[in-house]
Amino acid sequence: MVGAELEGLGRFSDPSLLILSSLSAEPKHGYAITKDIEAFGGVSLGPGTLYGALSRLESRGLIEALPAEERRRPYRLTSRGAQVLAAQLRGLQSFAATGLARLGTA
Amino acid sequence: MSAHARPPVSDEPGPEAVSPLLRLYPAVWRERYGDELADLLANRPLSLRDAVDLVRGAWDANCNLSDLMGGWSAMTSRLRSTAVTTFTAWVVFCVAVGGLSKTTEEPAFGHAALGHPGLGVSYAVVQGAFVVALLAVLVGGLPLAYVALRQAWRRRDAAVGRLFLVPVLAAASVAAYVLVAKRATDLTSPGVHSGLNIAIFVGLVTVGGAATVGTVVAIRVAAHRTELPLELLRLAGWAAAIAAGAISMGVVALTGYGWALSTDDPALFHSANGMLATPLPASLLAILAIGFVAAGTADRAAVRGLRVLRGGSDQPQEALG
Repeated sequence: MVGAELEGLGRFSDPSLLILSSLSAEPKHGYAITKDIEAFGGVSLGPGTLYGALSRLESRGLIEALPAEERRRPYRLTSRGAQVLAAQLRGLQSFAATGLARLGTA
Repeated sequence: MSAHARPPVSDEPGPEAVSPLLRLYPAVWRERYGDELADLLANRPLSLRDAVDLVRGAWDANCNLSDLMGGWSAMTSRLRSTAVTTFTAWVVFCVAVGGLSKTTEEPAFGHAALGHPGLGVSYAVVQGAFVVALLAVLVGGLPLAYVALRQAWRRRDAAVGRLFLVPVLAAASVAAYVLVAKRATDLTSPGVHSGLNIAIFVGLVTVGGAATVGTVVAIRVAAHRTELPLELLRLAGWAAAIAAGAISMGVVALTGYGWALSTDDPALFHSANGMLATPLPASLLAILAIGFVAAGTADRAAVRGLRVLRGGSDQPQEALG
């Protein structure tokens, strides 16, 4: 199931979702990903967490590495990664809508 | 921020300062991600939180290496296998082309090629295929050899350096043997079926065979002792496909040459111009058999490589299955 793809990543599932969201705009290298996530998510990913999540996403074919620029290598979302991200975000959207409706604030 | 944005220059500790933490990661992981992570760390302050996070990351990488690197290491492994197998096939193809050159060195073959376009064209295609395959092997192989030697130098791994000496020594041995044999035959003018001439021929086959096997084994071992970058392996994969196509075309042309010789010049075809003045058809068949072994080996390797290259970027698991 596409939406459940990130659930098997354990403590890396939330960082992975943030990384996929960051890469949905354009390809980025590690440093740019951390700055982007800090900007839109208010979360500072540690370097070990960032590369633990990146390597898992790459090994699952959700992102792919582009040719290295000197020592840094950009990553981009694959079509499979875009499907997984969309399914995950739809699930969150439904969750948020349900919660807000129950609070009567929707 | 785009992928091309430059991070700010930092006075914080560089990769050298954090390298002890990076060394906690497995070597294969460092080979793939080490440079990027070192670059990231060079451009941000290394806080205690980051250091702890790196230790946790290293622990995770050591415990879950196959999960993290499964697709990548399988891809590099298959492309490395493609490159090495194609090199082996190319060496075997060289033996076939060398055999053809040796058996057709008499002027009569040149005259026949001039008089019969089919013969001339097929022979030229064999030579052209040899050149294309050689160029493809050089384009795909030289960058890998450079990386392997540079890596061996940095690691003080003298064994890899010695392995790369094997092809050089092998070529020198064959050349030296040929020179000595030529000198011996010039001095003694032995008969075609004399003991000396047969001994020289057997010696050539032995030295050539040992040089071929030694070269192939040395390159295979050197390739497996080296962590080769995926970009260069991808380049080698495409080069292997070109080399395989050229070798296959060369073998088809080789078959055409034999067939054209048998129909255009039956007397020359049935002459005793084979190895050691044996009937030519037997030698041509042996050369053809060697050529088919080379083409079959190269084609299988190229198909494996192309499957990884075409499917590996977006769907690595399918490509590697």
